[in-house]
Amino acid sequence: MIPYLGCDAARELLHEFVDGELPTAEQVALESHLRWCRVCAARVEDMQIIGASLRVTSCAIRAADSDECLESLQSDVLTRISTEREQSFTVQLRDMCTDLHFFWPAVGATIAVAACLCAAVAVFSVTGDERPDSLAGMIEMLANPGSDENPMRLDGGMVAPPRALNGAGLDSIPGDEAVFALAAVVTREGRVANYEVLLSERASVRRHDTAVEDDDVSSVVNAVKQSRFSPAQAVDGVPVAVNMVWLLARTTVKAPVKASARALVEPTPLPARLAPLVAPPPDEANKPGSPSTSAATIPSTTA
Amino acid sequence: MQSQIFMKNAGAISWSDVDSGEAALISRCVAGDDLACSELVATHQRTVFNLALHLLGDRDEALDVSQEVFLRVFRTLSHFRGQSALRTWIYRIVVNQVRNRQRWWRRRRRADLVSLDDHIERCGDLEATREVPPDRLLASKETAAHIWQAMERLPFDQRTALVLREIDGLRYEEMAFTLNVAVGTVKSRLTRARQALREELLGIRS
Repeated sequence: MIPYLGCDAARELLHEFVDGELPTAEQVALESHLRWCRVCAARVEDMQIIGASLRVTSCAIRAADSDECLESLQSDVLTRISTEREQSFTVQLRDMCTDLHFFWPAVGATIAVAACLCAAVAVFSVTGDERPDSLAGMIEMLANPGSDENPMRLDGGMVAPPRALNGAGLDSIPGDEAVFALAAVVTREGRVANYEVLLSERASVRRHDTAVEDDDVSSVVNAVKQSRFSPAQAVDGVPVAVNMVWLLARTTVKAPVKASARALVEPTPLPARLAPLVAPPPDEANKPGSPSTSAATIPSTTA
Repeated sequence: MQSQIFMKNAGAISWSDVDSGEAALISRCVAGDDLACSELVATHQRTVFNLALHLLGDRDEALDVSQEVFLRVFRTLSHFRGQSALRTWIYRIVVNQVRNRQRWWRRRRRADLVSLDDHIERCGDLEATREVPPDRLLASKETAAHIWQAMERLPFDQRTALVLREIDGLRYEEMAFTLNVAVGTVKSRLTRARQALREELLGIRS
């Protein structure tokens, strides 16, 4: 029983039929179809004519002086092979570059990738260490108020660090009168940074004796550097860096001393007390009844 | 030393689709035997040259490409694993070399292929085919020449498929390996190529 094959189905199989690639069952069915379908038979005939024409023309093309070409081909190939074997490394290298269709794009892509990597490394290396005076550094600093680089001003809503400095080094300074103004930043960690001596005066030192004065300043600065505070806190409780100015002063108030008492009582220096600029004015120290008004000489330091 | 190389390379090849005589020839070529190389060239040179000639249409170019093909064959023969017949593997190299050559041409805007008329004028009359009655299938050599010219105008992939099928007689699977495509792609290329040539044929008749 040969299955029926319509024209649409037959046309799908015509090329394989002409090429002899159809399975036996389909070939039998198609041959049966071609017996009565003139259209499909004409298609098959045309394809056979095309194939025959190509084969005939091919024979005509390759018939002419092929043998001469092939004789030279064999000898040339063998000569080149033996030559290449003598230069094996060069041959391997050339073989890798035979198909330039892939070689040059690969070389270009490799160079491009290498250039991009070099550029990226250069950019990262240049911008890795941000200079504080650069625009980016300033923007970063301004965008982060309360940092050590951009300390804030103390205001009423903040929890301020303790205002007193313990042992500010005034004890070691000889003489009765000493005034130092010191600006500094109390960092988020409670350290004193970026200090600057604004004022340094001592009554017992002549102004031109700068060596002695420098020693006094360094002792005060060292004492300040060693101080630790609980850092200032913003309204939301976050520790922030703040600007502080301390006025350190030692004032000796000498009361009128009787002759008998002068022999018995000698001035005894007391530990320095330091307070920030917002502390009570020095006049309060001289009020009647205050410790500095005692008969003994009482060094007091106010700021 | 040469025999050691021979044994090493011969053991590395798995011959699934290659007969024993061909496998031995390949192994000798890989070992550097000049006689074996000469035998291999002699066996396949006509096939290689004809395919290159049909695809390129120029005798000198075909000869040059044939040399490159055999050099490529001997360079890469140690990598041949018998995944196909040696002839099919060589066909694949021919097609790739011709494709590269045509790209090289296009880069230099060279399209001066030798026309079929020049060939026929130089090579003489067409020969009769072995399977088609001349009076029925070939009305004239002019018809065949028109069809060949139309074939030369086809895209490279379609033209290659048609040459491999109609002139070299490769089966679909061999063509698929040669062209490095699927069998379905081979069929579609053949179908499009034949449709184009059939339209040319109908034009000639009308």
